[in-house]
Amino acid sequence: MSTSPANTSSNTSPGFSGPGDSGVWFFIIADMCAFAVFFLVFIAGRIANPELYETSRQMLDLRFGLANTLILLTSGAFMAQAARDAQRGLWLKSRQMMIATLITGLPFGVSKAIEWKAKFDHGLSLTTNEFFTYYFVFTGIHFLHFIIGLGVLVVLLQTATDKHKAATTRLRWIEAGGAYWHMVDLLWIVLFAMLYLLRAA
Amino acid sequence: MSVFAKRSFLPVPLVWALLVIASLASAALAEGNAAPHLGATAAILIAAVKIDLIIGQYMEVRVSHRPLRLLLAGWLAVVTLILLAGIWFA
Repeated sequence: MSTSPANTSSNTSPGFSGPGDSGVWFFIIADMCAFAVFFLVFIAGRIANPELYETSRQMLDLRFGLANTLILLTSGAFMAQAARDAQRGLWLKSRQMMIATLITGLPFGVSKAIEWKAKFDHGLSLTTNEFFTYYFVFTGIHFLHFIIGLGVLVVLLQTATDKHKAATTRLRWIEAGGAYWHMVDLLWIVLFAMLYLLRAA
Repeated sequence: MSVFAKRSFLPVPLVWALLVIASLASAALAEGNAAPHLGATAAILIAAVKIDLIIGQYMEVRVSHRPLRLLLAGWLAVVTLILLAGIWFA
């Protein structure tokens, strides 16, 4: 049972043929829309006051933004492989890939903590100006999603080899959890571009 | 035969390598000698390509439920336009 291929689609929701679970996808889409509003608010502020945003942007350390991007991309790659292994019924290998996802993802938290501490040490905080208010709020909310993602991964580690659960159920959980982890990744890609790379003249 | 076996995706290491190269390129472009507006525009477009890769290859939505695919494509288009507006109207 534990090594048999998952011979059917993971999804049991009527009318839904995507990977994972329709309920999780509803949450992911809603979350992404909330972040789209954040991006809109930030850009509106940038258009109104480009000098302030550019001066503030230059106070960010691009190396942290890039390192965090590479960390999440690497962690996401292991998660994608975990889902593909689960689709082939390779549950133990899938579990190992999820352990790698967790290990390679954890440095994101460390890097973020170091970056925030450096900002606070330089006297930059939520109240410094509009840019830094958005910077700390958006990256803080994103960090919360990252922490939740770590919790999801821990649950998935147990699910992957839980012989009491049907293969389709395990696969659905892994795909749904994976989709959430990838959402954390892609939201960071937008934050990285918006906060660190929008250079003004 | 699993329905998943019929799906054709790029190998994960290849997708990862493309994403890493794109990330390094966008950082170099944004901070390089290119005109600020052009460098920033390129960085945003590269970010959009990266997200499309993640949605299609990591999330495996490419061959998935059509409404979900359209929703995510619409989200990416709107967010990309918002960010580009931040460059060209600032």
